[in-house]
Amino acid sequence: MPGDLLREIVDNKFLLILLEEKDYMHRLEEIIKSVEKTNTKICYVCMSMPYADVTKNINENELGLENFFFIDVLTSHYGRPSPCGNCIFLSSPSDLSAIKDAITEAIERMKCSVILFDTISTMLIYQETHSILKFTNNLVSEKKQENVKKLFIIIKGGEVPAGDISALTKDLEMFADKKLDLTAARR
Amino acid sequence: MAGKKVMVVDDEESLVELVSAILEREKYEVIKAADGQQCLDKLKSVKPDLILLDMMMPGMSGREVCEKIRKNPKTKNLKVAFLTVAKFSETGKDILVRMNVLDYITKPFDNDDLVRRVKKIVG
Repeated sequence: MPGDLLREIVDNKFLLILLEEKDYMHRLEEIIKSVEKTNTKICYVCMSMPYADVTKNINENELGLENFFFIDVLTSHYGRPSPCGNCIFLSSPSDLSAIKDAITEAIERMKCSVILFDTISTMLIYQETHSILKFTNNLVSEKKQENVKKLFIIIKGGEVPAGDISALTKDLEMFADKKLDLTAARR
Repeated sequence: MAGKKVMVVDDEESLVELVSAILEREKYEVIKAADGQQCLDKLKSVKPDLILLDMMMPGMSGREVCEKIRKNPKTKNLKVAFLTVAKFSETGKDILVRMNVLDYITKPFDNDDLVRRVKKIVG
């Protein structure tokens, strides 16, 4: 799968990746390793795990952090994050406009050419499907960012109702270049 | 066009008003709906010749509304076209074909082009 995954990342600009909750960590590691192999600067949007956990995971997989720039929407919820050069800490996961601005900064200032959104389905806790659809489409249709690859991870299972995840997946699929289903049924 | 009915479904009121004005000028009868649920409710009593359906609406997306229209034996054969701000991918275009969506009109649209496309579908 990692070889196939890398090829899909290289071949598609807007890639949806479906995972199951029980496989999430294992699959996420495969995705991160594959993305890192693209040898480009990666903007990692932390929606499901805070910056500290994501960077620990990357370090444990012996991948260099130098290729990553982070946008964290969780840490500020639990306390005041320590400032660091490779992460923008946002105060709320529901502020789509702030997330969009941070992504624009990651692309324009930090020269990121891959956006890894971990995970877009978590947004359903804070936003309605149509707001997420509009947000996603704003990101992928931005002219100045048309060469930036966007990877959106969707987790099936967990605290978001299955019907909401299914609806979001079907709607995003209308605009995505490819849906990569890595859930058990498809392996 | 007298007697031809077009239902316009969009949560942007100004867009509904604009499309209505354009189509009414062409003598279409326009039925307005502000969201998917209103559309489904109105379909219980009216049978439009075409439904222009916004893709991204609160509550139910255009895709969900279209699926419900296709599942209902009373509405499954109605003609549907999408209004969208985003470009559909190749996968998305295949899904449109499977849902028997006849066209998709990208917003913002050219008024004459809108009329041309509506005429092509309903005459």
